[in-house]
Amino acid sequence: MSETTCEDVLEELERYLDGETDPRAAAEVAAHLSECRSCLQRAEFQRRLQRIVGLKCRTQTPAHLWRRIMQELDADARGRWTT
Amino acid sequence: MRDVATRSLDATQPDPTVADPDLLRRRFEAEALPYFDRLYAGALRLTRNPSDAEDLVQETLLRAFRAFHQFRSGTNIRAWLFRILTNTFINEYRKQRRQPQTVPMEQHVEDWYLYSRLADEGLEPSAEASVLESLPDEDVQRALSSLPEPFRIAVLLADVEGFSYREIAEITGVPTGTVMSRLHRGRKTLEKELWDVMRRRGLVRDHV
Repeated sequence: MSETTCEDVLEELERYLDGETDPRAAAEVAAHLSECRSCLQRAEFQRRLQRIVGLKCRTQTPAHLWRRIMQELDADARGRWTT
Repeated sequence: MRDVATRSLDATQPDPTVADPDLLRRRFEAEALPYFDRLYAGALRLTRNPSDAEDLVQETLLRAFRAFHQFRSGTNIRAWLFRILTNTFINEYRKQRRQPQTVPMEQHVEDWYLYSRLADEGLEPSAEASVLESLPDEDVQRALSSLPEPFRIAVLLADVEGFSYREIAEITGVPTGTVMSRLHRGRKTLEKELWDVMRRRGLVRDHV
């Protein structure tokens, strides 16, 4: 049994899920999660929540914007190198 | 305007494409334009309206193109583009745009957990995330867009764009510790907003 408590894990969980904990702390959190079902469920929920936010906030770009920007870049390039 | 030919002789910038506008343009297209969709999605979350988002992306890509000769191939172009996007937004758009209401930042949001609220509803852990998945995209987008600006930027860069704390610190020009606290408060406020959306949609019981 690791000595890491549920409170320790809760404290560290956000950084852990972001991949921002140092390897030693990450190993402790991982060890705790492997033996504590309630912390694991919480961690899984936070992971899925983050993923859902990421996926649902993607947006299709309007096609006309692409054309507009390509024209702007062309005009900018011409203006720069032909003057 | 600086002389392109002179710049190509600079020993610190041996990139041959600098002197060749066609090559530079093609390199820009190949390296920067794959992030076009993500820049637009980011711009939409920042400006909260499609017309401003289009202008912001256009301005961002033009600025990036003009500075592209200074950009070294192989470095983090996505972070570079998002830095230009964020700075352009903060400097140009924040002052003039129409300002929809943001949610007020609450004092004790740090310890608020959507997970615990859903558990109190008696939902099985596996069902909790499914409730979230059933939310329309627009609801989640609106919830993110309603966060106060520094928090919205932090959550966008971390959870939508997947940048590291260090990258977000570089993009936004604040220390990593500030990134972490903004991210934490932003995520908690977002969880609370999502909870309100679920209540409005009748996905959870409306008791407090």
